[in-house]
Amino acid sequence: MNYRKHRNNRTNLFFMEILSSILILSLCMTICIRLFSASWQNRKQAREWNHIQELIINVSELFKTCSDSASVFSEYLPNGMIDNDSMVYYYNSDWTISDSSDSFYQMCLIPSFDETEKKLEIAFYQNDTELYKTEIRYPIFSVLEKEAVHE
Amino acid sequence: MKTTIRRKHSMDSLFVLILLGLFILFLLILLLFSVKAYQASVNGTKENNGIRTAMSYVTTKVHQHDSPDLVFTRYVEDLPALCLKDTINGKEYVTYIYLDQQDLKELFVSSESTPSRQMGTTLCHLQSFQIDVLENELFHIQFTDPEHHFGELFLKPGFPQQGEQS
Repeated sequence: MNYRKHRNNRTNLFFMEILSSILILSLCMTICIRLFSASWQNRKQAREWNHIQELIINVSELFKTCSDSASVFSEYLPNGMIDNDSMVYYYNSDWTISDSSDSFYQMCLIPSFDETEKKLEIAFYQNDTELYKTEIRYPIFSVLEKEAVHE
Repeated sequence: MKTTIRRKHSMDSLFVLILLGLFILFLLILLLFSVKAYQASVNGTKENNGIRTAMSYVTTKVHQHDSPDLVFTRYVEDLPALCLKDTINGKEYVTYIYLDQQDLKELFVSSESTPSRQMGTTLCHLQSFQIDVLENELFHIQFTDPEHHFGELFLKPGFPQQGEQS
């Protein structure tokens, strides 16, 4: 009887040890995987923002050269799809221009012109989720204002 | 004497083996994740150090000289260069930005001096740096780094183009 009691105690202890080891292991695994996943997400977001920044610079500089239509975009940034008043550019996951069927990211440009200013709305989407949206406005000077600025 | 006899249970060694297997699996998964994360981080740093540095540097430099008369292209020996003109105390100086043997270099000299490619200071390493001047003083600059990352910039120094309204 004594022997059996002693053996049962040893087995219980062994199971406790195994269970606590598995618990600690799974806890460490969860923490590490969460950390690596967060790092991967941050890297992906940083990469997205780098490309968004590059595209916004290019588009805003091109928009500077527009006088009263946004034809400059189709001239220097080809492969955009014109949809009513807007232009949509499709990019794959590597930010290379692609067809709408392979698209992962989209850049949507909405230019508008009036007597005093020209405005460009820029929006970036990842499969219908908005990533970033901004608006660029340039004033349209009259000849007199332009001369005054130069003086 | 009877109590000292120790019976070996097959489940004991099986649990130890399962635990060891789990531990090895966990280590392998962790190693795989860490390698991927490290690889992505190194690639990102390389891209940032090369192409992004060059692109933001050129953008800032062009906008520091925000007039079409101050930004132009010329050759440093046989290398095409982006040139930015400054006037300091009535004397003209030119900053040349050009690619010399995979080194993007900057050279600041008096406009009267003849620039030499060896005189420039290295900014970063690039594989190609191409400058095109398009209509309406629009500069199209393309960059490729040694890891074949590609970047392009459209830059228009000066006022926005005015429409028929002006």
